[in-house]
Amino acid sequence: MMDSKRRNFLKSAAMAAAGSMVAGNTGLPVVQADEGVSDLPDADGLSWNKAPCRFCGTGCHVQVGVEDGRVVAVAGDKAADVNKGLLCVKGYHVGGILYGKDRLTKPLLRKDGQLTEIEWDEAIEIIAKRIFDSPDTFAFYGSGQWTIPEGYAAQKFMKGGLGNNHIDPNARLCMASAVTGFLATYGVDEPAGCYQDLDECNVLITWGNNPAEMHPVLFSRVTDRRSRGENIRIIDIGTRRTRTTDAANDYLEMKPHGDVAISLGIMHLLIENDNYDKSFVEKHCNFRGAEEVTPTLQGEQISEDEFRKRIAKYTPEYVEELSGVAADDIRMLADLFGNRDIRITSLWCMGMNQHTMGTAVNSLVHGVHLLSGHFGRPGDSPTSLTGQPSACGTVREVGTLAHALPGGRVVAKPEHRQQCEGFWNLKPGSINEVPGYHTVKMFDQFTKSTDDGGDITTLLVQVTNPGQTLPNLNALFNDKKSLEDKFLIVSDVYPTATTALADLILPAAMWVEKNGMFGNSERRTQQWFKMVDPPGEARDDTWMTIAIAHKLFEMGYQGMKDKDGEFIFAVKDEDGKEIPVWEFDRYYDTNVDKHLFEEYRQFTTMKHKNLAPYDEYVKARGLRWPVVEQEDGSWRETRFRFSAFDDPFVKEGQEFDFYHSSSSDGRAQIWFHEYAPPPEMPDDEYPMWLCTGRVLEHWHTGTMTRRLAPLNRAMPTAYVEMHMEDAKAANIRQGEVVTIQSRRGVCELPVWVDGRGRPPRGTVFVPFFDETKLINNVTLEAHDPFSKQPDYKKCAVRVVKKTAAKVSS
Amino acid sequence: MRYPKPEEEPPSEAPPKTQPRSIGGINIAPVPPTDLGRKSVSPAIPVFRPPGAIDESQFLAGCTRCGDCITACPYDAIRKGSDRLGNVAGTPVIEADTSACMMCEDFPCIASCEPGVLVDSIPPIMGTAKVTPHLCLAHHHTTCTVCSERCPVDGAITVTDGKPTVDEDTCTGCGVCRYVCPAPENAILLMPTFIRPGPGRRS
Amino acid sequence: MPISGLVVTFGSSVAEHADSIESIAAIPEIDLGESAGSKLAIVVDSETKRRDQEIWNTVQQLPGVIDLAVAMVAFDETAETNKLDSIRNET
Repeated sequence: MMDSKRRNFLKSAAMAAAGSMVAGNTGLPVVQADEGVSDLPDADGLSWNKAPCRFCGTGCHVQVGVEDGRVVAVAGDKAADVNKGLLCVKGYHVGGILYGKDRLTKPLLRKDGQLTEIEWDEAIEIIAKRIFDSPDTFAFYGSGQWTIPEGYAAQKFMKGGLGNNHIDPNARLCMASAVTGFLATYGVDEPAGCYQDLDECNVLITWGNNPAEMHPVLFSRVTDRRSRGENIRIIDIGTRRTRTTDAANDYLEMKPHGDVAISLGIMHLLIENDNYDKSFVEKHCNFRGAEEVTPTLQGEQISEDEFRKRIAKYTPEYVEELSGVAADDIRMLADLFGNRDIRITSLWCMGMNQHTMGTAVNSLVHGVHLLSGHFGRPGDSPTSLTGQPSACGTVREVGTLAHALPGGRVVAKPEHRQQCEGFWNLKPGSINEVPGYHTVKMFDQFTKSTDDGGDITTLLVQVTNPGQTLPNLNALFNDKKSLEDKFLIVSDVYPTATTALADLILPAAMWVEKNGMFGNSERRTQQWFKMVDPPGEARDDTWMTIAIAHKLFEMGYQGMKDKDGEFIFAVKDEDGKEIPVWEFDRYYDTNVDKHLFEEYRQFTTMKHKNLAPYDEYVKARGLRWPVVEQEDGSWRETRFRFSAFDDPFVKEGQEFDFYHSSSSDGRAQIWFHEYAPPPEMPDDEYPMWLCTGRVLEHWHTGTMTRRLAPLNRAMPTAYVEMHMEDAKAANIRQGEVVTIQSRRGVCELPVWVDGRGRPPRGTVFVPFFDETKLINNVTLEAHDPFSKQPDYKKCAVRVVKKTAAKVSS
Repeated sequence: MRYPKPEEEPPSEAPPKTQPRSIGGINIAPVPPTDLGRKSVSPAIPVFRPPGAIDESQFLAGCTRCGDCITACPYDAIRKGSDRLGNVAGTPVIEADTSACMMCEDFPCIASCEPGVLVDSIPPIMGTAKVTPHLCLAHHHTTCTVCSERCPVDGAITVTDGKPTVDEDTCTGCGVCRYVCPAPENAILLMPTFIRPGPGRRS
Repeated sequence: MPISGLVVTFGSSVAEHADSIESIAAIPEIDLGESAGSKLAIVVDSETKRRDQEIWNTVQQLPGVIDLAVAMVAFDETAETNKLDSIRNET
């Protein structure tokens, strides 16, 4: 009796499971789109097209299924080399980000404290007027989520049109130190290797990096090899145990700033044991140290003897003292690097970038690879990852930073400005030679009253959420509330912590609601087409920039005219007639992205970052630059830069050629930097380290992923990870809400002991995705001297029980 | 994955009514069942009772549909059975897709039950969960650890090589894993307990 | 005594494979479920694992079948029932 009842149930459950795979809700293995799917006309009214995922810097491709003007399905793109059909938990839900219930659909102006709907014409006029009246006190804050054309338009508008260099992106908070590390070492930005290194390395070292959660599709390339029986050793060096640690063979727990000491310790042993790669170093490297008085990115050349002398004190025992990692483990690392028969790839992301010694530690890890010769062969690579989909493409390549120009040029150099003015057909002297404000400075100047010298009065923010991501929000953002003469304009898709203080909110189109291009972590430039209309009156960010520029042009602002008197963003049809792309209903009469990209492309050959014509990207699932035209007219991408076997720019007869060497001799620089302790350390008053970061399910400030029910159910709230013994000592229970206090602010969070991440005693970790629990009220704005990137990974806090906090306050 | 229509989220029992469609020529959407000379088996609707529910026939006989357990539940996990469910209508059920049982230490639902159809003398087992590997992200080369992290019962979900499995001996069928599963199609299959003991001797 | 939910995928629309479907339907342990496009859901309820395997092989070799995927395999019934009993009998 019972048997048959149960049996019937099981049968119906089995039928439901099988039925669900047959019907609509498809299982994972079934739905992956086939190669060439996008070329197939679909008889059922569902059209498929390619796009890179909207989230992280991995740059997975998805196939987006559209029906009746709505994104209804997403599948991993099997034709994409990056992800081969696989997606992460966020990627499978990416289409849903368009359809949160509270999309912004109408421009909103704050009048007497109340947000009131206004028309676009009025919004553009308000902005143009504020800029016209005071162009020098205007600043533009952008993003590594800007598409390449969006960033390029903003860059040209500011530096070319206004002669104003106060343009900086959120990527300053995210990978500026990686840039300075590459520049200091190779004289040119971005990794030499590519994701193929992950398929070929024997050892993978993650430096303060958690790719299992933050770049899961990339990490699976390594773990998949292991499940196929390949022997690959993962060494995780970090300040807390993570999901990456779970997969690692070795976990080396370091103190904050320990990475600096560890890399010095490895180089010390390579020299001491005389097993560094002498031939590689002799042919391809110089040694460099920081100048004593005013250190620069260039540094000064030092002899190998001088390098040996300086590094001599970083013995394994001394490094153990500084880093907390056992001397024998330092020896183990040095032995691995000393072995040229294996291939070693280093991965890092925010751990080494959000670091007050970010430039130094980036340079040192490059140095470890160069000194040991673990460079330039597939699988032998020092590689930084990016967290945003176009931190590389838009910020680093288009150069939307306060000091930079497109194509790896800088405003400080007269010949660079002249070249740029030439490409833009501007009057000589149009571009300002003084670098603008970097992010921290920009917000400091904006949230300081004009009387106190706060000389940024109007700030336009696109595609980012500084009200949640800036460090020390009380000092850098929240003060805006009381400053009535400061005007904050925010373009976004949903209400955010930033729009909460905005005076004017512009509703934006997102992802496949507009044409776009991204550039991922491995130099891969990707393109997609608009597939659906944005909701209500939401519009493209590029259009906004062009419309503001044209309004200024109409008002007679000289900078918006090139030297022939034409509008700087003029787009002409085949007959030479101007298309009024500043009118939104005419914006898609042409492909503005293509026009901007083809103009931008001229810049890219100057530092051998050559890009192919727009139409090549339409065909490809991204191409890695330099992309060089072949004799047969095809375009060839480059996987391994500076290596003769793959890079067409390496000089004939050379095995390696660092053709942008800062010492102009084709060599890379092996740097020495002295270890220094972090600027704020735990003390009696604030006895714990605080580290912040992301979680798998949410992307950055959660404005998109928090609106996806499945992801929000999976990760509904921020929390503080704490060691069991620390919790016991403070009489704190699992799940209890505690107060995290620093010298700068407080944040209340539930405690998670033995959670997903497991910090050691004396450390707590808090993710920053949760808008209701702003941990950046607590963090420190201290930053790297070269990259100006703040350190979100370490500051001193105390954890206080809420009852106790009430008594003491 | 295909997304539910907005008015249909979270997924309801009925499959979404959609047009036929395909990916790369492979049809993936439901069409009316083809008449193949046999009737297809209609899926049974599993009913989950709150923890400590006694044998189903005695439960149905004894439950006064007073709603006290529904009020007592701090997580709004217990709801009135839908009118469409025949004799289950009005009785307390748990639908993990809407809100799962959090396995409170003191079971306020049981404490609130005057008629004694929820009792603390039998184990608070509502059913059992099973991971469906072909739907589980962790079984598809990507990191996901939510179910094991959020499971309120120690040892009910274990993770080997990043892949979760349910220990059916320990699992209480509370449904938290199903509720939190972020896979495009929920990878947790929940099955209710078929045979529950009678009230037994109350302690 | 295994129970499994399977998805049969044909090289073209289900409607074009009437013969194969008839063969499937003729196997007494199989219940036919929903079909859509080229896919057909079936449930196999057999007495032994060996018989389950035989059925699997038969279906897989039918003309027009290009894939056979497992949607769900039910618990091993006997063991499962005993386990449940052991929990329930504790009190």
